[in-house]
Order: sequence, then C-alpha cells, then structure tokens
Amino acid sequence: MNFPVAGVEIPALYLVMVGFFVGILAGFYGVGGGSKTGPLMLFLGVPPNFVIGTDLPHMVGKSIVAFKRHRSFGHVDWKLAVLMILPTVVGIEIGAQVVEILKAAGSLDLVLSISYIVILSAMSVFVFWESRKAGKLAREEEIDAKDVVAFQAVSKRVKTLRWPPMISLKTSGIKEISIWIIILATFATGLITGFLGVGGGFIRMPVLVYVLGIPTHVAVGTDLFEIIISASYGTVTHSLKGNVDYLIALVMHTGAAIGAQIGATLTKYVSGQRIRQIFGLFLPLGAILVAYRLLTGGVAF
Amino acid sequence: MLIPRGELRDFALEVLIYFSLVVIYFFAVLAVLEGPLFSLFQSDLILYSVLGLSVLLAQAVALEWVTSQIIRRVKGR
Repeated sequence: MNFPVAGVEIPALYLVMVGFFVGILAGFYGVGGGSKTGPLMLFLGVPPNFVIGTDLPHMVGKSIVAFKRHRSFGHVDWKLAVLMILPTVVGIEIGAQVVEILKAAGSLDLVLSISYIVILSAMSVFVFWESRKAGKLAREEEIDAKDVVAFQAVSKRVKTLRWPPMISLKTSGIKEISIWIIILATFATGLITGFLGVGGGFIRMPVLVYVLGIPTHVAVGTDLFEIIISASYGTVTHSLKGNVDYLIALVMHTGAAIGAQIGATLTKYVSGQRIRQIFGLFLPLGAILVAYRLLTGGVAF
Repeated sequence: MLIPRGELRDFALEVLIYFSLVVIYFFAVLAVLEGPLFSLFQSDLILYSVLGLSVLLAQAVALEWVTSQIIRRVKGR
C-alpha cells in the first residue's frame, strides 16, 4: 500500500500486525505501545519524523478502546489523572520543540535511535529485576501477589516529602503526597513523550508504581487516560509541523483496536507483579530493532 | 491464569465481530482515503490535522460502540 504523505510503500498487513501486537501490549500494560511501534515503524522504513508524529494518533484510538475497558473495571484514579494533564502537555511541547531543533540540525535519526536503545534497555533491566524480586517476596512471605512491589524505597521516601500542598489519592490508597512530586514526575515523562513521539506509558507506568506508589492495576488504567490526553496533544502539535501520516495511523489502528480489547481483558486474570515481569521482557525488543536498523539500514519493500 | 468458559466464549465472539467490522471498514473506507488525505496534506495542514485526528477518534469510538451493541444483542437473546 502506498503512503504518499510519508513517501513510503509498506504492505498494509504488516502495519495491521504491528498495530495488533502493540494493541495487546497497550490493553495489558496501560502503555500506548509507542515504545514498540516506533522501533517497528523505523524498521519498516518510515522516515524518523513521521515515526514520531504518526505513532501518536494511532495510540489515541487504541488507548480509547483499552481505557473504556479499564474504566469498567474501576482501574482509574480520576483525581491523579486530572492533576497529571497540564505538566504532561507542557513537557510534550518542549519535547516536540527539541525534535524540531534536531530535525533542522540533521541529527534527529541518530539521536532518536540512541535514545530508544538506552531508555528501553535501562527500563527493561530495572522492571524485570524488580518484578522477579517481587514474585520471590510474594512467595516467601505469602503476600497476595496482586500488588506486591519489591522496589518501594523511592515511593516511601517520596511520601515523606512535605512540600505543600499535600493531597490524598483515595482510589490509589495514598493518604498524603505532595502535589509537586506528581507535577515533576509527569512533566519529565511528558518531555520524553514529546521527544520520542510515544504516549509515555512505558516510562509513566513505572513512575506511577515505583515513584508515586500507585497500585499496578490503577496505574495501568490511569496511565491510559493520560496517554489519550498526551497523545492527542502530541498529534496536533506534530501534525501542524507536517510530521503525521494519518493513513498509516488509521491502518495500524484497525489491528490495534482488536489487540487492545484482548490485552485489557487479560489484566483481569493476571497479577500486577506478573504484568510487570512480562512488560520487562518486551522492552528490549524495541531496542534490538532500533540497533539493527542503525547498523544495517532496516528493511526495504 | 484461568478464564471462565462463559467469559472466554463471549470475549471470542466480541473479537470475531470486531475483526469482521475492521476488515469491511478497511476495504470500504481506508483504501479510498489515500488520495484525499495527500491532497489535504499538501494544501491545508490545519484542516489535515483536524480532519485526520477526527477520523481516527471516530474510528476508535465507532468500532467499539458498534461491537458493544452487537454483543449486547447477542447476549440478550
């Protein structure tokens, strides 16, 4: 199929399959799947600026489907979700401006690829290590595996910070937390979102769990709401800069819509610790694909 | 990971309906969008942005809504 806006020709079935795969991940982990879609699109030969821009609209559609499913399970902390909107949007805009600067300097491809490899590899090692440790903890101390988290040092410390105003998050079971921690954490994830052209879920979800101490299932549902907001804003800002091929996004979304339904339903039957463990296994896949493309130039159709 | 049989059947049915709708939609709509979207991209970037995102949102909500309605009817029998 020809995609004249991005100037590439890619079999539609490949894009539908990419969408289906990341759709399952989106529904299951509450991430938009951009950390996988981006590397896969780069691998299929989509130009880097269109990878960044096109990833976002396809994510919006897919996340709506998964979010509706999670909302019906009661997995959304609305107070937290609303608080996260503004810092996320500001972070995205700054990230998108960085993309424009790098595009003008001609170094976007290299910087983007290296950023993907470093971030995905680091995240993968950490999440996989933590979830294994949490699994061991649940078995040894006979704790309910549903929401056991092994790495709680940061979230415990964060809760001791008394920077006013302090708020409570009832749905997440948090009695008191500084609003500034939420703003700082979500601004940082927004910045990465705007720069990589991802929904930011693969960063935001671990931040919610390990830094803010949100239960995994609530983090998944709340994160999906944030992805809808951040990816919609990211879509508009990148689209006005001519970085979005909507046809690619629409084709990918047809597969993603089915995948998101499957993934979201599966969370009802899998523990939070197990969700994170499998998440850690999938992260390096993107890093490997980007490294392969950087070394060989990817595939041609 | 144990999924109750009834839920698994309903879910498989839902996915099947979803898949059928997506195939029809792909050939009826997406296959003919190539030319118009490219013309819009070249002539009016703002309209292209607004229209593109609107189509995508409509696609997401409509597919989900139609499937839910069909499922409700099937379950109601």
